[in-house]
Amino acid sequence: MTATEPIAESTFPPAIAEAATAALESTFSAIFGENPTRDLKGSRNSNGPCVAGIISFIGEITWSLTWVIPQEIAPVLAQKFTGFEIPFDSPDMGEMAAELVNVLAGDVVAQLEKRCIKAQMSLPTVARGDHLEFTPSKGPGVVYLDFTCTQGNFWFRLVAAKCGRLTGRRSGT
Amino acid sequence: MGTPLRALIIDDSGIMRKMVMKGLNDSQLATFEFVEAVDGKDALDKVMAGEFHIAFVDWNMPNMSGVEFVKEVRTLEKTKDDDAMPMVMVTSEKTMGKVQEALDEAGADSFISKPFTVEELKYKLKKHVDRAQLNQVRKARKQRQLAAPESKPSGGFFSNLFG
Repeated sequence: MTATEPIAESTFPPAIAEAATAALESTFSAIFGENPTRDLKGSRNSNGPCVAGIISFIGEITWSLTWVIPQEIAPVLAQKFTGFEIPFDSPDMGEMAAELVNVLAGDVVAQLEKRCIKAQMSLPTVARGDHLEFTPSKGPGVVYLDFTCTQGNFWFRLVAAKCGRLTGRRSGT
Repeated sequence: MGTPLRALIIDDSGIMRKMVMKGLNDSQLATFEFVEAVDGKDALDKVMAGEFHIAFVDWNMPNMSGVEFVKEVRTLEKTKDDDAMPMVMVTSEKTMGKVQEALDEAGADSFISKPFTVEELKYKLKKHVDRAQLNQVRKARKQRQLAAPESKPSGGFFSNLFG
């Protein structure tokens, strides 16, 4: 993508998806000591309890990132991230998911800056549920990024609230 | 180990406050007595009500951000740098612009990006913890001097003389 290339209204900006992917790979390996593998088949499985950390980005475009962590792997990731044992049903598990996505978001902003895309992150929020299902949005771009690690699968959902011609504009222009 | 350092841990995430406290204890840089605050406003109230030797401050928080808190404290201190409370930003923000804003504009002393390791805490915090301990000793000495009665020769010769 070039700096002035327009983005189709229904497409999630590829530069942002690329930055987010780079950030989540580096953040995951920094925290958990392993490189997650991208699952291109998109075999996300939400047939069970999940916890999700959600954060928004405001800047040249507005978009959100959701990190969905199934119950099977959440306590293991929580232990590695915090150094504490955190039961899946405890309030601390929600805080852990929020903090995890918050740390990731810091890296996303840094990755976007490298690509000359300005963004500021919001405070994180948390969602929990069984059989977590995302209703497809109409219009704006949606991207799923599926990963596997030693403990199991997890995935990300990127949703652009507003895609436009400004996406990818270089800072200062 | 001397008197514990009173450390203010400011983060809207309870789990992150626990992680920072655990990291500081594991670093063995000092003995800490922790007080927790859930946002900048809560922290400012606590600073105005009590004495702290060092503060660890998150950036993005509701009510008052970490950077706003640091600016408020620096305005309140109005004292020379040696006596200023060391304040360390512990945040997921990591762009150079944010680092500069925290250190140069707000007046924070150091900047630690999450996730952090104990080794990183040790490396980045040593001099700030040392300064906090020095401030603690200096303040304790001042308080002892203020608390002591008017200096009046006592005992021996003067006691005998003025009876």
